[in-house]
Amino acid sequence: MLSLKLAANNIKKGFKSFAPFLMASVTMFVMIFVTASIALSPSISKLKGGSSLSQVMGFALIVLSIFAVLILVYSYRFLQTQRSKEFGLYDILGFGKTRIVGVAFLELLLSYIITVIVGTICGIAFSKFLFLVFVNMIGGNYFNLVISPTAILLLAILFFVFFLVLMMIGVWIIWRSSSLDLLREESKGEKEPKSNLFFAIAAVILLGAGYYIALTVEDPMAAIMKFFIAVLLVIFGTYLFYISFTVWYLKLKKKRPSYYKPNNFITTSSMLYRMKANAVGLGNITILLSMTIVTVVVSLGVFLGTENSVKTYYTREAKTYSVANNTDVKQDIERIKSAAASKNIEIKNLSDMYYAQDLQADRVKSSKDQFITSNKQGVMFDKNSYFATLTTAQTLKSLGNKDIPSLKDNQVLLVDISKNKTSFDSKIKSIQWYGETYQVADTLNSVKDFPSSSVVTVSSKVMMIVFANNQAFDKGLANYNKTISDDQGFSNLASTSIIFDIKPVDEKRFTKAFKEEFKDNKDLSISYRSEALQDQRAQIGGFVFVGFVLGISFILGAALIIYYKQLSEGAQDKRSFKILQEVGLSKEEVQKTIKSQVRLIFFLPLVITIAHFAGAYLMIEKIIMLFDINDRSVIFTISLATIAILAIIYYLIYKATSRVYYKIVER
Amino acid sequence: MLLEVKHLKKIFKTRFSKEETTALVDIDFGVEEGEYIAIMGESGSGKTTLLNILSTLEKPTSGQVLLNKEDITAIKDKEISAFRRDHLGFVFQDFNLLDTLNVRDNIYLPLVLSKSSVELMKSRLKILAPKLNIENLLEKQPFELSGGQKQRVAVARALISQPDLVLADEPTAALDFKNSEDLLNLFEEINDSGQTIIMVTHSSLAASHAKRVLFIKDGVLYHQLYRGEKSSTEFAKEITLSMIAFLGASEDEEVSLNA
Repeated sequence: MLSLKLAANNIKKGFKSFAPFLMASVTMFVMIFVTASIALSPSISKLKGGSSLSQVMGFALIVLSIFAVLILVYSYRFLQTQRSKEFGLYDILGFGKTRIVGVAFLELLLSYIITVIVGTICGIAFSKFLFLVFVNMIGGNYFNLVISPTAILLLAILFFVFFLVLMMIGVWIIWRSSSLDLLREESKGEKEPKSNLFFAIAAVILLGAGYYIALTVEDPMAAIMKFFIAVLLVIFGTYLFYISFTVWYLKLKKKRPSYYKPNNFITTSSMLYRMKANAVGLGNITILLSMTIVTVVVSLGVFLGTENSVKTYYTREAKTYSVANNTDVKQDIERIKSAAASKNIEIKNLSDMYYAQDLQADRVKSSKDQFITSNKQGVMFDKNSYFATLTTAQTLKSLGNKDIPSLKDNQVLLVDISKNKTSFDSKIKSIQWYGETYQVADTLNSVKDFPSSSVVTVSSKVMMIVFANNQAFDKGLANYNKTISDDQGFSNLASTSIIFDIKPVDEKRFTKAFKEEFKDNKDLSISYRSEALQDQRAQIGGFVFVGFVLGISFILGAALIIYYKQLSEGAQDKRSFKILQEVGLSKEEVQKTIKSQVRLIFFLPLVITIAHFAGAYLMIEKIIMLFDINDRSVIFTISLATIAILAIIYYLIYKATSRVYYKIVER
Repeated sequence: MLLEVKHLKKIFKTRFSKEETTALVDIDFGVEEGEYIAIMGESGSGKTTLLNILSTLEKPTSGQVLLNKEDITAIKDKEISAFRRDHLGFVFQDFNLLDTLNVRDNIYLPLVLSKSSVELMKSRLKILAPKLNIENLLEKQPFELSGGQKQRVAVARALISQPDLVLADEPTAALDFKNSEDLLNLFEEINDSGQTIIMVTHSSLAASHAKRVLFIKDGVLYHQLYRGEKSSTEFAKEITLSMIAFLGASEDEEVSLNA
């Protein structure tokens, strides 16, 4: 009972030294708890790519767990060193090592209980809060985050194991050392770490292997396991890198004559002195920052990319669609206008289109100025595989494209509409299109307002063939169907669409009028951009929510670790700065010293994070492209913006926490 | 006259009450260059306050301290750190070595802070190290040293800037008898080579190595003794007797213990 009392009292009285440990423990608990809750929510399997997503969440849990163990051990060791004097005193007073271990055990048990209870409450509050923020931001509820007892139980078990590890470390420390050692532990200095060549080489190998895997992975989903391995390699490589590289760098600085300048002297020596702990801290910060960037970029990329692809598909707000081949477009346009007029709804920019999209056509080997189609359909994504969109000159004119030359029946226009313009060569002078030969009258670079295709990817070569008129178009399509599609038992049909602009608020009323007007024509359907956006959001909103929650918890985790680092280092440096001031270091000089110390610690994790991100970039791009997002520039812009914003947030965190540090060390 | 202390007065006010504590009433003395002075007094006598004022760590309520005719109580805050490291050397009770630096760098510290050249540091240490018998400790970390060794390193740090005045605050308090004796003999040697030293102590034994002993009680200098040609043992007896006489019989036991 005395032990329990002592343990409880220790936590209460030593709250200052216990608080950082509890804080670290609770933070890790909340992070893993939120992740586990998301992974266990039923909504996750309903998301687009849900099964791979839950796999990814599983990996995230493993990574976070490894990470949590590292942080807990690190902060528990720190706590133990601070308190070993107390334990030594108990031992000398005849308390006995067994009972001291008992006290340590009870302290850990109490910490464990506090962690689970506070962590669960904070976790629930935190995830509910984020959920509300998110729903308000995106305007809709797309993910049902369920707080399940399973998640709580899982976390309780997980942390039980973590604390068991801590217990073993604690027992080991107490057992190994004599009471005098314990008494002295706090004041005991550490030998300068050696710059370990083995670690340096291991770091380079691990990082290199991780980057190599990430850069060479072809299909992100099939190789998700590989990516996970790459992530683990990079994490361990990062720690080793900091341990070996920073020591090497500081030792190098120490050898230079400039070491004996007031700033370098104090900074270099004190950093070298606690490099082991420092390296772990820097590694933690780097990894959390990297995870933040990756999650934010992926979820933002998916979100904005989807919006973007909807917008390129709906070049105007409304779009009618029909595959009937006997429609009179001119008449339909008039009927749409009168339907709108009858309800007093304003519509404008009406255009009509006649087209067939995404026909796979393979090119046989021929001279550069000829495009000859193969009668057999090859493997998709082969380098001779093209996608063709057929349309008419009238369509382009209706869409507002000026300067369309008049064409003869055996003439066509060619437009390169690939995402990646270089993949298509514009030297083609003639096309032999399934039996019929056309002269290429002109090659255009782009066309206005033509809806983009939804199936093609970045790497595919897409060309638009513009025929002189509907008859020439029909003939070209029929020839294609005869050779290719009929083999596969279906025909590609020509589509007729009318696109126009309308205010989203009028859409419901217009749809009513439209259905009324075209009661006789069931083939004709209408859809709107705003509707499609809504649908897309419903599909990806959950995914984005997951990224949002994880991103925020990662950055908060990083903030806490930075804070903790400043706090613990401040406590360590307090005595040093007191001595320095007595010997004759002025306040301004103290401030200057601190600043230079902070600078290295500030920039290093940021630089390494950006390097990690660059290594993972191709992989991230591929993951985002799984969501039908093909615009590389969007992904790139998002990445840059995310890095910039993260750097600013990171800087603010540092500003705030260095103040904490300064307050501690200043007299 | 190297140091002149003129009518020094220090009153402490607690922040929330109007109660005042007078730590120093009226202290007045002078120190010639090359002197070795011990200031003796019990806890609460004001000796630490006096030392803090001499070290520029505190400012007196009134009075002046002139070092080489310069009033050090009037130095601006901005210049005070530079003044301290250029003109004063410190030896503390608990050594105050930086754990983060090895012995060599600990000794270099004051010179590094005053931006001296590395050559100067090296040449000065070359002279100092054999005198203090620390030549083979230079590459060690402070935690590897014994108390006596640490204090010798601290003395080296105090001397490397060739200060006008070395201020020592109970330098033997954390040392055993043998190490105390060694350190005090070292102080005598240093003093013999011309270094002025002021040491605050409550130990008659420590004070007996000085050339002059000042007794302070309740913020006032009560008495002083010159060592003259006496041996340190004889002088220690005289100091103990004076302590008993001047500082009150109740302190008998403590004083004789220290002696």
